[in-house]
Amino acid sequence: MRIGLRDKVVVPVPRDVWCFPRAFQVAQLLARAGIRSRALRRTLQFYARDQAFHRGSPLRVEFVRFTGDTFSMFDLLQPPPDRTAILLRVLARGLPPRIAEEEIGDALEFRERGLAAGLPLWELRLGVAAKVFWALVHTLGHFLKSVTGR
Amino acid sequence: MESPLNARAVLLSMLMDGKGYGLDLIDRARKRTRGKVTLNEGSVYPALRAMEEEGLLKSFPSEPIPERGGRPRRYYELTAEGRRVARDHAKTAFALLPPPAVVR
Repeated sequence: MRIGLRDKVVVPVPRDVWCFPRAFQVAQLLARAGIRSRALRRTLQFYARDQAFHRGSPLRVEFVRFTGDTFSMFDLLQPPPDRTAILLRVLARGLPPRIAEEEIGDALEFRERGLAAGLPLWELRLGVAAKVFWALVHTLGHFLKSVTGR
Repeated sequence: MESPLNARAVLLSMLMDGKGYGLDLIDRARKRTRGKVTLNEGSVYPALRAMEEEGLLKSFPSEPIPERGGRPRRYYELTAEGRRVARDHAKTAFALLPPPAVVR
């Protein structure tokens, strides 16, 4: 059974599941329903881990709904959280403002453009890694300059 | 006189066309030279900052842009002195070319 991220999935829930299922329960439920899509399972497990019912969060996780003794998983058009972008944003907090604004901003923009242009993921990752490497080198240079004055 | 084909000279030449920011200047250089000149981040950003400190460029931020995580772009543009230096670089680069052969 092949299921894409655009498919709506309804999985029967055992009566003893009284709260949002944990990651291993999601895996069990999907396996029991005969769903073998790894991408779908990973996406759901990621959300199940810690973002259940955070309806007001920026991720708008609203795709799990209890309806009697079933819950529906829907709205899977919502992409999984962009971990690279999150990592870059966290990294940017530790960098001097000018470098964070300019170099990390460019890395994020490069990635967005690449995704829109359909560049292969390895190429995007390589490009972003190079930009982050240079941002770190320039940060080191910035601190050395502020210490030595040269 | 420094080499007419270093990162600084290429950046000054790209900025002759108008303001630009780091990523955009790297793209412009690659497109204009059809991939023959590829600037890397290791040289571009320090060169831009150094030229700004030397008064060849001035920079200003744009409005925050969502695809940059809400960060603004930092645009650079040539000052009058920067424009003069950019023209000098261009003249030197032209001077290195062999004179065109006249075919009759």
